[in-house]
Amino acid sequence: MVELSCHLPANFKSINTLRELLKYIGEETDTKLEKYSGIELALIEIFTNIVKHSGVVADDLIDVRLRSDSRELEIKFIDTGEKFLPTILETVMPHMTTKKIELLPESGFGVPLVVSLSDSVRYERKDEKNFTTLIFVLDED
Amino acid sequence: MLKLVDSKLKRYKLLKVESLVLDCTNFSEFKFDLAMELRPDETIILNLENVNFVDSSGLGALISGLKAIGNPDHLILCGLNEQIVELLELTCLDKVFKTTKDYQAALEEVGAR
Repeated sequence: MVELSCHLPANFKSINTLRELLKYIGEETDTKLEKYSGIELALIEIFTNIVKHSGVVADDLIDVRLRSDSRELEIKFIDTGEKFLPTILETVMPHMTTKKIELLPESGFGVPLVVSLSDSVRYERKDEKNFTTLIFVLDED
Repeated sequence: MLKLVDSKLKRYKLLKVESLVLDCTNFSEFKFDLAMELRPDETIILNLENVNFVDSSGLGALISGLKAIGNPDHLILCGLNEQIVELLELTCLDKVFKTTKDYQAALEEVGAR
């Protein structure tokens, strides 16, 4: 079991560091995480969501903890932003229609994508902090 | 971040995205650059072969471009990698955007000379 944790500034410049953390934990567990393209997207979507919507400012730090063996990857985000609505994980993918493109939504995909791409997503509020945990089940080679 | 690749085609314009990503860090720039290239009754072929990652912000920018163009037949995305294809499928936008494997296939699709 490999565990990493890092406090990242709550801004988009931290996204490359997130990628590096994911790559590193894949190397340490000898797991080809790059074949799971959804993990990178889910990771970045959650981080971006926290930066954009939780009320944290650019100098705030988001605690990112990764834990993995070759069978499962767990990624936990801890932030000091505002409480998320309990129903956030029930957000559905915006509905697409081919008939009226002028009505196509341009946002709202982030959380539904995270839920689709992850095997498990948990959110809880504790000690004035948000805890968001993603779990990915990895195929055995 | 958009490069005009071929200006000799009539009624078609090939634009290539030069960035490696289309995401929360650059989607606004993409939207602006694309808006500057739009002309009435002109089909845009958008080559994404350099792009290896698109997130929901980048996706929103592509939708915004499509809405600005106004006609789903006038925007063709080509050169999509597996991540982008999967993203379009997850969001059901594979039924909205016209896509081809590459630039040549896009030209054949529209019958461009």
